[in-house]
Amino acid sequence: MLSTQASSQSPFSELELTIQLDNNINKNNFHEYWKMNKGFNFNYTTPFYLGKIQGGLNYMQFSSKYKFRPDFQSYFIYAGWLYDFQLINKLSFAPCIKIGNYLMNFDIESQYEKYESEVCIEYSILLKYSLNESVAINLELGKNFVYTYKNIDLILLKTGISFQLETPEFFNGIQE
Amino acid sequence: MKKSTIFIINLILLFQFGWTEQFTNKSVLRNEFLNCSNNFRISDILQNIEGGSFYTIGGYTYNLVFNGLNAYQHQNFSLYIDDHKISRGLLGNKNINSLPINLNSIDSVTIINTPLLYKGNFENNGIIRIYTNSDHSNEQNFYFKNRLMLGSETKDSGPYQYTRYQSPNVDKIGADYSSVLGYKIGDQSALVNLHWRQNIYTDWSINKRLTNLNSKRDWPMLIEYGGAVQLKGSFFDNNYSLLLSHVDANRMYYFFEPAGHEFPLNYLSNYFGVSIDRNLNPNFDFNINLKYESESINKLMQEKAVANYWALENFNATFELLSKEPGYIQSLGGGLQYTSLLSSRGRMQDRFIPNMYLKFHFEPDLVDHISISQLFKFYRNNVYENYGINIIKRFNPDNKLELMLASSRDIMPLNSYWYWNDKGYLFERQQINYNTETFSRNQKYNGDITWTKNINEELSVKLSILARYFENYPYRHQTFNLNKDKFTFSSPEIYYNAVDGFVKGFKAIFNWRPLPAIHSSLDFTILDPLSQDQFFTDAWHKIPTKIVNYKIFFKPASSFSLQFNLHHNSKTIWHEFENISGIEYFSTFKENFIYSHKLPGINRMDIKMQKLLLNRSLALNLFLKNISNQRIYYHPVGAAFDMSMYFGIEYNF
Repeated sequence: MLSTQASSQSPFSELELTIQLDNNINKNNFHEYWKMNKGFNFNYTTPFYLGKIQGGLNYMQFSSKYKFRPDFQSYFIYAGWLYDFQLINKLSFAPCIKIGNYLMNFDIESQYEKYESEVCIEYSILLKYSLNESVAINLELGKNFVYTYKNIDLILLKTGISFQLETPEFFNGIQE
Repeated sequence: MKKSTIFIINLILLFQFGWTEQFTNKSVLRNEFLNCSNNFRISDILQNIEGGSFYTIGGYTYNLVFNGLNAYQHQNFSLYIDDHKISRGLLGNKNINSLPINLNSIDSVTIINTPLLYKGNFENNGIIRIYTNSDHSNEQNFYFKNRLMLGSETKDSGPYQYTRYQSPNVDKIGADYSSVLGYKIGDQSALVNLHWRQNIYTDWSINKRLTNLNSKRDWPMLIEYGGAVQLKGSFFDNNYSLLLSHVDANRMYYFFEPAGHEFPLNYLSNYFGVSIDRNLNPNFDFNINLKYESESINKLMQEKAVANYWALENFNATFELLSKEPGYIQSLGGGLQYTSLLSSRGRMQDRFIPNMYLKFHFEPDLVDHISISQLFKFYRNNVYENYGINIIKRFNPDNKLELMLASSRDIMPLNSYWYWNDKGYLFERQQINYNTETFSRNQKYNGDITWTKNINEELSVKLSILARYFENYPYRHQTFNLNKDKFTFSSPEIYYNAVDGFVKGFKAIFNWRPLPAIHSSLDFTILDPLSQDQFFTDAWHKIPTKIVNYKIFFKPASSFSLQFNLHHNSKTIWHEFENISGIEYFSTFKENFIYSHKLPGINRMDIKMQKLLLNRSLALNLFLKNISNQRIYYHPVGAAFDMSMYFGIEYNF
């Protein structure tokens, strides 16, 4: 039986910090040229008026398969929204949507062409298992879609850990 | 009925009844719903106006029309900032994005869609009136707001620039930076606006010709800065309002239709205006307005296709005497206008153009309100008459019927290229033919019937039937061909003034507020041009015949708001670009892009979010436009507007 969690929480009453490791699990035209070496996702999530909101940064490093094409790093700076459903006692899942700027930093000398940025949207499903009241492990499967003319379309499997905190008083002051 | 008969009847009525300023059929966009600061530019708040449509070529200058009051060729709608009419026109284009005020100083915007005599001017092409926070009604006595907005359009090349999938860059949008300083002491208030705006023209459909036109071979980029000082208050029982402004736009790529391509212009505009109201006694008011306005264009490029220098100066003085009795108000007003053009061809002056107007309002038993207005403009031994009548019948407080009729004949706006063209000014290399001797004979008749019903506290309905008849409508006919060397367009011009046509329309607006936190509105407009004359229907085919807007504003808490806009308009046809239809302007690894004179209908969805932080002194704005990522064209040779994301930050001290 599904039940919802977020609706019972008042906005900004809690703060959840999450850190995840990224794995890229699909293959398409993009992967003819680059492969993802590593990626980290860091975000904070807090209850909102409906569901939860989050803000975060997903860092990914791509290495070129050819010498004459540069390696690059990407920084996906995003705002997201998710809605928690309780599956069983300690297990929940949440559909998420993240929207933000996908900044690319190419390993080249020319400053003119070194940076590019593009709109990026990520849809994902987050599974979370609570180890205790303040620590949970998570698994997230997401489709990361960068709106370049030829799209960058990555399916990411992320695993990580999250820590639940009471929102500090000063943080409440910021958020209201 | 002959004009002279109408005039005599009205004159008789004038001395029996009075007048008050009660216009109808207007849209009021309040900041509560508008959330102005969560927009990128002023044009964004006008993109979802009922009955309004627009086109833009480079994304910075906009051409607007409302309710079938005119076609795009005549940008004769009026712009007001509080009490001040901004008349400048950039060769016929009133660029709303170059106004000297900022989004975060706007309190509300009113769009008046029916012709009427308004502040001493007979406005028959619609009015956009922007109310600023200059009287601090919603603000503290001192505030200082700073706002930065950045945008990014999709379809960059990204890492694929190093592969066979490469495509040219479509760069960022903006940035726009603005500051607003407000100060109030007693009944004196001051508002200072400063702005710095940037617009980069890199879209594939315009990039080739702009690169060819750009002699400096750098990025085609506009940088504009400007500011305004507004003072309001009273002295010796007089209320005054003063506006002083300056805008300097560098490298504005302005598409000048007679030339068929953009010109990188340096555009300067200045304004000084003061309005003084004096209450002479409880039944008698006096108002005077003085205004000086100038605009100048310096062309950057060397090609002598247009004048290198064009400077307009406009001085305007008006007065109004108003007497009030219970159920009876009348006013008498008049003014003088003087305009001169200084160009690289020499000085062209115009003599003073006087006008006189009469307005009266009365409340007879049969209906609840009648107002009648007349304005006469005296120019070149001609009298230009404008008449308006507005009747309101209230069946009960929540149910009213309004009828507005207007007839107008006017000279071309003195800031327009049309006007100076008519006086004999020709740009170099211009191929022009006149099928008319003068544009002064054009006449317009408008009729609007509007029924408004508040069904309950949550739901209201407004239905309108519109009719416009244009007689001797001035029309510039062009047939554009491609200049292959520079990828620009050229066309001979033929000016007509014997085009007649009729536009009928229907408009429905539903406002629904199911909860205090939710406000939604749905409107749709149908416009149908009818004419035996092909030129008239050609002019109207550029305007969508069906326009639908749905807006929902959700504010679950005082520090968070969410807005969703849905816009649809039907396809448009631009006959003058028929010869360039099918020409390829760009190709990539997977697509060939061609110009088309038939633009498909537009379905655009926008979503806007605003979160206030730090005790509401910090606002974070996120704004996604065209979230379905359609390739939207507003003009056959204009930029394509794909999905764009905007981020803004605003800090209030």
